[in-house]
Amino acid sequence: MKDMEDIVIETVNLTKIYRLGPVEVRALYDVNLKVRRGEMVAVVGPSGSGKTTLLNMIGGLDKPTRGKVYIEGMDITRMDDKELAILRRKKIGFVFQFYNLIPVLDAYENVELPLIITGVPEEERRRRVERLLKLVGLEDRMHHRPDELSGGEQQKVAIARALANNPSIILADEPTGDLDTETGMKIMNLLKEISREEKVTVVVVTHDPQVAAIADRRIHLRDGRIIRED
Amino acid sequence: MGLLKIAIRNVKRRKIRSAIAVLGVVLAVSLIIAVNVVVDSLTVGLVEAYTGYLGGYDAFITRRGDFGVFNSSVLIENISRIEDVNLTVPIFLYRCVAYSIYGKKVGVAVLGLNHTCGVSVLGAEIIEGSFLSSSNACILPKDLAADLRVSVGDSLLLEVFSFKSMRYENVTVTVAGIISTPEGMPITLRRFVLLDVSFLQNMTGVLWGDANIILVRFDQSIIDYDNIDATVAHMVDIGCKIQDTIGFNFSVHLIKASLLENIKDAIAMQRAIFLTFTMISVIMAIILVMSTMLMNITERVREIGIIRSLGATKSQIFAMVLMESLILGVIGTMIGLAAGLMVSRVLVQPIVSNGMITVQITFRHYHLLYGGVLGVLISSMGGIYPAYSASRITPVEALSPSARRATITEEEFKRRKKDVNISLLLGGISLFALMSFLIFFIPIVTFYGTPIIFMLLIFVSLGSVLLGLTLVMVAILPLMVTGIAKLLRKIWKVEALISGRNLLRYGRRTKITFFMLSMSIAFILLIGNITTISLATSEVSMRAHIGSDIVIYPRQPVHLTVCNNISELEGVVSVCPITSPLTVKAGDIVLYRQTTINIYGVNTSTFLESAFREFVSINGISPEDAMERLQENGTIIISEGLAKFLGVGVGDTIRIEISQKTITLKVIATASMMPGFSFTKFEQKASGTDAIVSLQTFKNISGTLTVERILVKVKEGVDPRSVASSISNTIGVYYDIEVVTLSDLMESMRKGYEQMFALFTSILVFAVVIAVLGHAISIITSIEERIWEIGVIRSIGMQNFQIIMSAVLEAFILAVCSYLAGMVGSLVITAEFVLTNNLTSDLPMPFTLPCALYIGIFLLVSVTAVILSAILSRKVTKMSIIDALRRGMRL
Repeated sequence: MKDMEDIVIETVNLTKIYRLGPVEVRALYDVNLKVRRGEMVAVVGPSGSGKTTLLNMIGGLDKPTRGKVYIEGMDITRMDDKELAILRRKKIGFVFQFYNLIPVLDAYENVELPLIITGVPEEERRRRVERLLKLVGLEDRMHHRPDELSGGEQQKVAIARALANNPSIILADEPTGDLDTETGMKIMNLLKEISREEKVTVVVVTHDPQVAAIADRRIHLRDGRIIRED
Repeated sequence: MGLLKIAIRNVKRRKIRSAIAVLGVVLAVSLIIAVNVVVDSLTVGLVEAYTGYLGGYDAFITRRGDFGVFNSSVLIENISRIEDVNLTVPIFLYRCVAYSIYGKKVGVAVLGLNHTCGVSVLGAEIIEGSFLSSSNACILPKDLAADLRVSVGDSLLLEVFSFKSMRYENVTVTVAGIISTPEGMPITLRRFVLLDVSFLQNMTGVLWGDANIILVRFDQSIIDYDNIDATVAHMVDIGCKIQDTIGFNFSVHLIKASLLENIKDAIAMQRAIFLTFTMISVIMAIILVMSTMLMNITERVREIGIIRSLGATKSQIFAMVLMESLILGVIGTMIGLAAGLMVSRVLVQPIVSNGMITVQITFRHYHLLYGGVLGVLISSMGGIYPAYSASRITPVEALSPSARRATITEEEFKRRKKDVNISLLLGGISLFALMSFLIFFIPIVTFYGTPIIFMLLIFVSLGSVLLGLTLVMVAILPLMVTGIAKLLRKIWKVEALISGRNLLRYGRRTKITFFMLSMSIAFILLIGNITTISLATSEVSMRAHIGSDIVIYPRQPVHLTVCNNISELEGVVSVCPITSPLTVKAGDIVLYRQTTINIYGVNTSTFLESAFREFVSINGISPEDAMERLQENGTIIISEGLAKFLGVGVGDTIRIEISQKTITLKVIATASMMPGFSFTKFEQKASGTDAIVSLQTFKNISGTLTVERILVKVKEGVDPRSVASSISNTIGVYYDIEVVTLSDLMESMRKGYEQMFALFTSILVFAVVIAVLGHAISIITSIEERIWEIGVIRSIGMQNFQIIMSAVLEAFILAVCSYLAGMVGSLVITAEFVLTNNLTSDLPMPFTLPCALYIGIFLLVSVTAVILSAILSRKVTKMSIIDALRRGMRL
């Protein structure tokens, strides 16, 4: 029973079929996956294997053709747009490969944004934003706009923003794709540390084996199916 | 050829944006065509309205010095032989009293006309009955028939002085027809009875062929409305020939030529004003095309880089972008030429609905030429800067975003962070200050230049002052945006934060849109303010100038007892006669200083009650005391300005010189304002002002008492028009008088201003609409550019209505900032205008504003922005988040 409670993400026969004219493309096919609280999972596979599609399904950005997605036991495939927006706000944090940040807002405001949306009081917001920026090591660059930050620093801000509402899940799509190897490794270690210390489930999509090695578990996808887990 | 193809495809690629830019060109082109069409149509309409009552006659001939009777037959024969003279008609104008069978009695003019001419001679039409059917038939204007209560078939008794029997004789005539009252005619000439000229000659006992007026019509082919100067010159030429033929015992009055001469100046002025207003729309259209093209090339930096890397030269890129804007211009011009006709009809509406003149819309080939040239001009001028910027893009810069980022130096970062553009601010302040200062030199230009040059100068300087102010506003725009966004953040936290920042992010685009909106709004509000204030000022000044509800102007000497008769009429409160002025030299006692003034005699016991009290401003003592003291013989009230000029005060004596006789009068009061008279508080305006004395004093110093006008105050709640009409029907029967009511004058003046207001605002609203189109393009681009960003915000849980709200707020904040800036600009300049005027004017200008215009423009600007941004952002929220994010990857 305790084991069941600790499953944060569960997909059941998750299938997504795109139609490109007369051709059917199976982006995901019968994917069954369980991820526990505080676990860091890397989804790996070649380009076009369905990694991003899987991540989008889990994040409620896209609807499956068939199958279910459970987040903390709730079936999100039945939710409407408004419920999904609230779910994303409270339970999920996203980190993309690039263009993560709102360019008109500085680092502090970017992290603060989800908190304002949720309606967190100002005092509490300031406390949390400062803590998170300190956590990612950017306490000195709080009031810099994205175009004044390096790629790695931008990703750190994105991670801090993803953590703003104390989500149970962080979904990261190629977070190191636009970075050099050293910075990429630093980002991955940061995510690992956060998942351990904050008990946050992290799902990272990557095609870089070196990056994937840092995760607790690796799920290998090919042509929309899980071919291996290690 | 290849580049032309790319240019056409590019225009087609951003369909909505291109369509809006084209629409801007359409508006400007159609406006310029419409304005020219309207002014040309107005020329014809105005000439017809003003010369209509001449009945198509171009000149008339009278005996020199009076309207005496002369034998017309020989003159007519001689005049008819002159080249370009088409028709000559003798008219016999005489005065008599008409009695109707119901006992109504009215003083009228009898007009003898050759029955072969028709009433068109008088510019009227028969509306009932027929033209002079028998020798003793007559025709009356509608209003006179109503006064006499007669209709077709009734008899009318005319009491006419016969030169044969040398006594008054009664003649009975039958009403054969009723004609429309000729509108343009002087009021006394509207009350006439038309008879056959030979019947009237017989009735009055003058010789056959005798008349006192000969109407002359020229060959109508000499009239060319497009060249009024030549037409007038031609008419003067014919006039000289007639004068040569008939000799100098007769006067030739070239009435149409002099009217045309006056109208010509009015029309030239009107055209100058309208075209100046149109230029604002043209400037807006140029900026619109420019900003559209700038957005196009900013989006296509990468693409242009690729074309450059494939070997295209700078000039080829320049040509390609210029071609794009020319394509927009040519399409806009073609539609605009067609739309011009429609717009002309709309613009002419205020004049048509006013009913003052009939306007026939006339198209000329050069209207299309103007429109065509202008359209191409707009697109090429709007395209040059973007084409130049595009040609400067290097392949390296275009293809590598990181290279572009690397070129941003540390200083540039600092510069970007600064909110207020100091050089723009200082430039704006200097322009504003310099032009405000130069306005004080306008009087010099008034002295040396023509009225049109003067007017254009006023507009140029007003425009420059406004430009200076707007530049200051552009410089402080970031502060305004931040301020308003901060206010709105109290209600919409995230939305206002994001929208405020976005406006600041696209600085150049925001500033261009802001500049267009605020400048066009400022112009329309400014012109609205000035027109409204001028109307209010004219109303007050007309009230002060006329002085009472009704003024009677006798055209022949009337006895003072007439006033008693008038005061007995129903609805009359008080009557005050005012004598004809005595123009004298007035000076201090030692004749150190002297100037010319007009002395009027007034009835001191009824003046205060008969005139508008609010304009009585006497210094030191109450008006009642002043009037009482004025009853003392040899006393005078002079204007404050004159007292200052002569250095005299109350109790002092002034000297006046009348026909080599010197008289002294004691100043019992000075006044800065007096209803019905010209008084002033300024020493500089002392010459030519009025002064008042009692009737007794006036008689003593002038020896006579001729009534120039009579002020009549009407009881509250009584219509002055009905009192005026009963004055005409009683006193008017015995005396030749003109009765003027203030309300009639006010009404026609108000009508004129309303027409002007409607025309000005309809022309200027085009500029605002073009600026709103510019805002629309900016909104579209802003949303399209940020689709991926909106995707990111949605992915972190922002809801659709919040996304829409932030787009709406972004558009709304800019609209509000522009409106505020425009409003401030217009108010500052209006205040300058009122203040400078009040420094030199006795009547202060009231600061009234056209509130409906303010609200209307605010709604036009803000509602369009809100609706448009809501629709466009809703479209983006309908897009799936993944598609939105993918769009970002592609960018």
